[in-house]
Amino acid sequence: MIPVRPRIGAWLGALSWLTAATAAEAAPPCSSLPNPVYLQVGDTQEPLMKALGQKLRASAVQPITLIYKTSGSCTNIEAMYSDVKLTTNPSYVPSAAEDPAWDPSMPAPQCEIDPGGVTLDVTNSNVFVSACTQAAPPAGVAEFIGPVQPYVFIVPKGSSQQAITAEQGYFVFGFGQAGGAEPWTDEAFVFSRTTTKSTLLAIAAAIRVPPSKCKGKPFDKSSEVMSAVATSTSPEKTIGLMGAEIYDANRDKVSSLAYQAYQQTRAYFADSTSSSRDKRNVRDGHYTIWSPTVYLARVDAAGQVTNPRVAYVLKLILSEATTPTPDFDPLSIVVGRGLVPECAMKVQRAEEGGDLSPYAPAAPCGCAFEAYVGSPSAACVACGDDAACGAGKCRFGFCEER
Amino acid sequence: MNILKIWAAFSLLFALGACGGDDAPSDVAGAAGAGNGAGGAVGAGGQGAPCSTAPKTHVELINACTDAQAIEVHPVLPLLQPDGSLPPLP
Repeated sequence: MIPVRPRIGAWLGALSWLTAATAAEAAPPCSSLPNPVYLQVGDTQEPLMKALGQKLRASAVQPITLIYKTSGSCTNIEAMYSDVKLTTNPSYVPSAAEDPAWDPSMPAPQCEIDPGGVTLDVTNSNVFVSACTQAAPPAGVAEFIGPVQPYVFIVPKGSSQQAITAEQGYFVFGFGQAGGAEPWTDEAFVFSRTTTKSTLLAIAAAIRVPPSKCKGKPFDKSSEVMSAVATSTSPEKTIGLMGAEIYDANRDKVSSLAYQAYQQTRAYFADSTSSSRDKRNVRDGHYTIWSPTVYLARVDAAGQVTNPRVAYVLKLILSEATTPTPDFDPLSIVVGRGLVPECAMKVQRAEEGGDLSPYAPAAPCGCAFEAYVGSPSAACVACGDDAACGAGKCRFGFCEER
Repeated sequence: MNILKIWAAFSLLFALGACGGDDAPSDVAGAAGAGNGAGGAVGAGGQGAPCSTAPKTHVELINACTDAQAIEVHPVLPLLQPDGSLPPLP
């Protein structure tokens, strides 16, 4: 008969071995992954990282592994400005061979970072850089303006609220309970984000409340706000802040509010109706809570991205032509994640929460965008080449003006 | 009865003339509301706030004519200043 203590020791040893083995299997060295690009992005961009990363891992023409960590926009800007290395285990997008069952709706596995840390190739802010720092990028770093990211107020499915005005937002988030802006007067049910997060920065700029003065319960992650709002014990009093693409993926759990900006006469959803997904009001200026996504990368003296793999990934995100031509449709991935490519925008702004002005992209893609979201306008004509478009151009399968 | 009909016809003509008058900016129309929900709908070209059909400025863009779903909101905000402006943050 084996004494109890040695038997427990044996069990513990076996358990320890199993844990180590499982961890080793779950976390390969990041340096072992092929053609890596290291990114630090806002958590609102994780769906894009996963979807784009899956296509890039499977690409026959330019295979790339996206290895990423999520953090707040201001933190990410600082990381590139100050050359902060990645020292904690990041997530990576597995290949089909590594995990045949994985899809972008699942959590991404982690890899084991080199003990000395790794230099980041790309960082991402989902607000204008000027919302975080007035400093220009250091020499050797440049900004690349990516697709537009809308943000929304969300309420539980059990709430009867449909809209919020900028003035209401000012009192709810600027004064809390003292603001008396019913029904959102109980700060225990006002769910916000921490002050480095783009979601708070963008919405705070829209309602003109400095992020540091915003009331409510701040959460680090979008998923935490989503859970708090969806499971609130007081639905009518509950409100939260969210990136639109996270909301789009959770429409069965929460509702978004229409928003009426200062000087606007009515409230509008980010989409043309509460149930559509066309981002029409973002594109034409009726919905004003949005920011461009900004990508920071290392460049040479001529402003060209130094790492060819990074340049390739950025061009895909920015919906620009690149060589080799990808063996998947990058625009559909961007649009499918709730983002609006710059080429589909009809308005622009120069600073966070700033006034809008008309915008005419140099290489428009409005018809393709509308086709992707299922609502091509009658004026959109499908084409195979420029010959079908008269004086216009055939872009992404549709005739555009330019 | 005939007098009433003539008066009504003149009133209608006068109203139509005013709507299409030279003084009105050509790119401004009645709100093409397709709204529902709180506050109710505003009919196309109807009684809502004017909207721009060729928006250029920020205010024109955010209030441009659209058939998107719109919601009228009239919140009660007890801390608004008497002139409708916002008080400073605490």
